[in-house]
Amino acid sequence: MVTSATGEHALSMIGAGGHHKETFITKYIFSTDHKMIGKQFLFTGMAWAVIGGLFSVLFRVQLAWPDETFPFLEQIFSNWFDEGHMTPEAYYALVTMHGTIMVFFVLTASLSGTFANFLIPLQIGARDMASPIMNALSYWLFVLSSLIMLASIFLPTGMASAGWTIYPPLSILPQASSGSGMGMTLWLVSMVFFIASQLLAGINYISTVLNLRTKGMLMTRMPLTVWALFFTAVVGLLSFPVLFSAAVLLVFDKGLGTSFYLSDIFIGGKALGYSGGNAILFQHLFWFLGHPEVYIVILPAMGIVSEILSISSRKPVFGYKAMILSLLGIVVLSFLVWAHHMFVTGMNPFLGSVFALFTLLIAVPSSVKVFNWLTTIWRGNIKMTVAAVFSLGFVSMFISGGLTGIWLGNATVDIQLHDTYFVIGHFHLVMGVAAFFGMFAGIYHWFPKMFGRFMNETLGYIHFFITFIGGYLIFWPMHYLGMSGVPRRYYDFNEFHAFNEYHDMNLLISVSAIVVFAAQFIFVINFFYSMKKGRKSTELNPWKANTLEWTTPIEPGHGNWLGELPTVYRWPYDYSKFEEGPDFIPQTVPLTEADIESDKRLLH
Amino acid sequence: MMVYPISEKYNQQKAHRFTMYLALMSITMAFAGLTSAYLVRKGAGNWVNFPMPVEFYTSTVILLISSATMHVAHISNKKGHPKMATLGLLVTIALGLLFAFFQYKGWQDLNFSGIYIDGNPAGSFFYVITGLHAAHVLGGIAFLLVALFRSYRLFFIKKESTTIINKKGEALKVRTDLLSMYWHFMDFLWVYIFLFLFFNLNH
Repeated sequence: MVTSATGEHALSMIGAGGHHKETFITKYIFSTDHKMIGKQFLFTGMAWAVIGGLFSVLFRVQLAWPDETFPFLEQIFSNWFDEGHMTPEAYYALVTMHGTIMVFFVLTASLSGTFANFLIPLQIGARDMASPIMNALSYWLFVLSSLIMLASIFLPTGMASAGWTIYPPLSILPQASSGSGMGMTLWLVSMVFFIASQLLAGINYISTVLNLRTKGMLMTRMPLTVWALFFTAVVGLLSFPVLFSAAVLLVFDKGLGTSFYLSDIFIGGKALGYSGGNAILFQHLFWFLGHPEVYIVILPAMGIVSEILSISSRKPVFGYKAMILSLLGIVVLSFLVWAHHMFVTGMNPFLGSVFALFTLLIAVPSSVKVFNWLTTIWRGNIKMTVAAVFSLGFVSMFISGGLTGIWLGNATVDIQLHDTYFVIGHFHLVMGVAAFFGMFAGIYHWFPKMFGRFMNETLGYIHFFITFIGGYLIFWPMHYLGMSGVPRRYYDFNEFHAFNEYHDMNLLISVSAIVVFAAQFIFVINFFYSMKKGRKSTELNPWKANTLEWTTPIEPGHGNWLGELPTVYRWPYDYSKFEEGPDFIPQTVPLTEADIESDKRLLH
Repeated sequence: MMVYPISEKYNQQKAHRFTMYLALMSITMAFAGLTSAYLVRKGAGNWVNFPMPVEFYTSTVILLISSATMHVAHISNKKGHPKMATLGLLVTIALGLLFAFFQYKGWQDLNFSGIYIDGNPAGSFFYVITGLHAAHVLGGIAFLLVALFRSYRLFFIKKESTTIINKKGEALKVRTDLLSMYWHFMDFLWVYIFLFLFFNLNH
């Protein structure tokens, strides 16, 4: 055990297997250790991803073979099938819940929950989060919210089916669909706990980054992962409360008969009691969260990818400050573009042009990031680890999906493409598959730190290539469908002669989706097998990285560092700095004369 | 629990205050969302104006006074007068409950004059915004009660001297500090809501 003059008495209590006694329950279940909470978020997120993915497979089966009957599916999902056919209500419910689960439960809670919890304290040199109790509370509120959402899936009246955007009046009136009764109520209750969980988590992340950095860890020496997770938390902190307000008004409309969102509505010739509401108001409030939400999803993946690309190409990240400023630019602009989801609501064309302008402006910081990723790997000595190929896959998906964003940001083009498969293709590439790739890259990269073992690389490459090719096969054709005007959320295209000729394309998409879904089990099996039986990690720093998490013991205990907290002297991207010696210089190595000279030259 | 070196402990406390600022920022966003929805909806017309219930003037004064008593509690705790601090907490809780009572009377008054929650959105917004604020005040009272209980047990039953700095006394100081930040913010938020509704209902 390290002893030093300043902290001998204090340090004897800290560290891996020290005197800090832990029972099974305090260690694995009600843990306040940020690393365990991160893993808990990861496990919960994986369970949700399987459910969300399964839902998408089910509705893709319906779209590919609308005339076939599936008695075996009916036996498993008897609630959603009738005489071997999926019911239209079930189709809408599955689409709704696929979106809800993937956007909120997997890519928001689980992506930033896993990596912010796991990486922030380790990479800034802190013992734990600013408030470990609040952190644990945030996870358990997420569990509570998950259980409520899970319960709604088994309701005999069906789960919420108004789309993940829960636009009124669909979501408010039980007459609109059977899922808008109890299913929608549970959806809203679940989201209240979810928002509380996200706020507690986000407040904690921001506070930790700003207050608990170790000696020498200036803001400008933080790894880009921490910067990205920090900005993610800021966006969440400012946008989730507004969704809360929107949901409160929706709950009042639903339960107490107020008319915030509903105007005069006649059903079967009879007037309902609502009058004077405004459904567009909900869309404004929803998208004020909803658009920043897509950045909450993609920013952590951007940070993870920046870090991994620099490590695996053995080169400093290109334009570190430009990377941070572009993140900041995205954060600011993300709050000024929400109405580009609402170009078809009959908004004032002048207002529309303002939102189109801001939307196109957001392409600037995004392109800066893409440029910097490409220049980071440019002429680098790239080590094609699994994490690296997933990071490259992320960049590919982000470019492909991002370019179509410029089409959709133009109000005039968007009016043609609105609510078609073009939109589905766009956002699945840019924030769906891309964010998943960032998540996979992070898991493969930090797995040795999480579990002290490596994941199997061969299975990792197989998983990557099937997912990468499959991802394009699913979402690329959707752009053509969308340009031909095929609308989203339709249950059965056979009913429309105009869309008959696209049946083969739908078939291709569905088959690819099934294959990609099946391939994810390669990852799941690899994950759990490697956790128990994988190759043991024997060196402290297997990827030869500079950041602080690799200075802890292989499996750090609660408190992370055995001795004093490390002191930081340099930025985290000193790769291949000198021609001789090792090609990386960890942040804890003091600056030398030669460093100071070269820093003057490099100006970072 | 872990034991940190002193300098790490100081950082932890600074983080607590900062965490409270962030929490208040998120509450601000929730009410900013509601009041901007109010303005957007009002701009669309079909809007019924009604006078602010008189009880709300009284409750505003009560909440302003409670902010002062909370400040007394906070300062006394800092300067080492725990009994005065305990009294300050007690009075603040009483005034907080009185505020909630007057809010309730105000809503009752509105209901009598025919402004219902499921009527014109002008009324619905009024109930929801003031109701959500009252819920936040009641939440604050719950935490104040915990602080009062701990303070009472520590300084009146166990008769601990404040000259001995112990862990529980320190924790209580941090708790009162954070609570006073929250309480002043609730006061400020109410003044904002009151003025917002006052000017919107009269123009």
